[in-house]
Amino acid sequence: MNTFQRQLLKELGDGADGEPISKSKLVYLQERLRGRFFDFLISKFEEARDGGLNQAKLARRIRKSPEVINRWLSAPANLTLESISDLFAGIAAEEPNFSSSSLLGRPKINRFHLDDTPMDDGAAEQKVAESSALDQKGPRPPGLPSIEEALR
Amino acid sequence: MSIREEWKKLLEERELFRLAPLDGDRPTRTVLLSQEMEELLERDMEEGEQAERRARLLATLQNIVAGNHLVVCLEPYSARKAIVGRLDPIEESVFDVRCQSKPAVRVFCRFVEKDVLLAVTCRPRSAQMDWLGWLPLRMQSKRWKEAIRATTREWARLFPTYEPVKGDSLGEYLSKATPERTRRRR
Repeated sequence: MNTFQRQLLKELGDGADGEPISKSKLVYLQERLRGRFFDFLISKFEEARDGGLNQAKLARRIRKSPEVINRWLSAPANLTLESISDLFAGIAAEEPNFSSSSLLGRPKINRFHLDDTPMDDGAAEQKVAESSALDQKGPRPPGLPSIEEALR
Repeated sequence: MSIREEWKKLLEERELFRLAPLDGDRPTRTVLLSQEMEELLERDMEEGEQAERRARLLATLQNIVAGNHLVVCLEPYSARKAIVGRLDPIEESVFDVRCQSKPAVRVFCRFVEKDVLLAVTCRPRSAQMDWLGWLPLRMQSKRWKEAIRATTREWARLFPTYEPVKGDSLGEYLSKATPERTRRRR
């Protein structure tokens, strides 16, 4: 956990009588929520798309232009309570349910992404072969001996 | 040695740093930080506009680590709302993470493998930001090119015998990502 996060949890943990939470921590949580909510929204749209929805149909359903729908589904910063309401209605005839959980005392996840995951062959091929320059079939620059000549 | 073993070794040697998610979040992608980026995110900072900007940057990068859905633009100069955009020239396979809220910043990156992003340097987009120590990119191609060069230089130092991920299929770079719908430039 980095310094910022330690400070964040300390400030949040100070409770109702604590000092005001610093602006940077509030801004961090706003940005985090935007990303998380956008993820939720897009997963809903992806599900509905499997059932035949697309942006044009959604635009027609909720009386917006395709450009507006594209903007809403392109970046978390474009969402408002009004647009969220319209989108959930149009995407899945739903409304979001609410619950929340404490940011304090959450267990640290000790496994990182790709821990103990072997690399597949495709990714392993990224390595530039050390002999690639020697393997090239293009013309040899003038004056440069061939590998065989150099080894002789 | 595979590139994965290579970057894990660089983490152990503290040549690279792994961006940790907030406690409780399950990391499903990796953001590797250069020393410059690590220092930037760890530095003590007085409260104020700069600290707020950095807090947004941290949250944006952690959104990537947490596996949240990303909109990506693979066509240089066309990104409008995408959070990740590929830069010109595409052969270099350098991307920027676009932290859009004003004042905007750009993090220059390359993909080490699918869902593993190396964040090299962070530059202000339009407004001068002293805490970043770089002049704003604005529309000055010289500054963009310099930031791209800085990214490829750092790559060459860290991974001299490996290529970054390249290609025109978004699925080669990221899971849970959709391409930004762009209008072709004339």
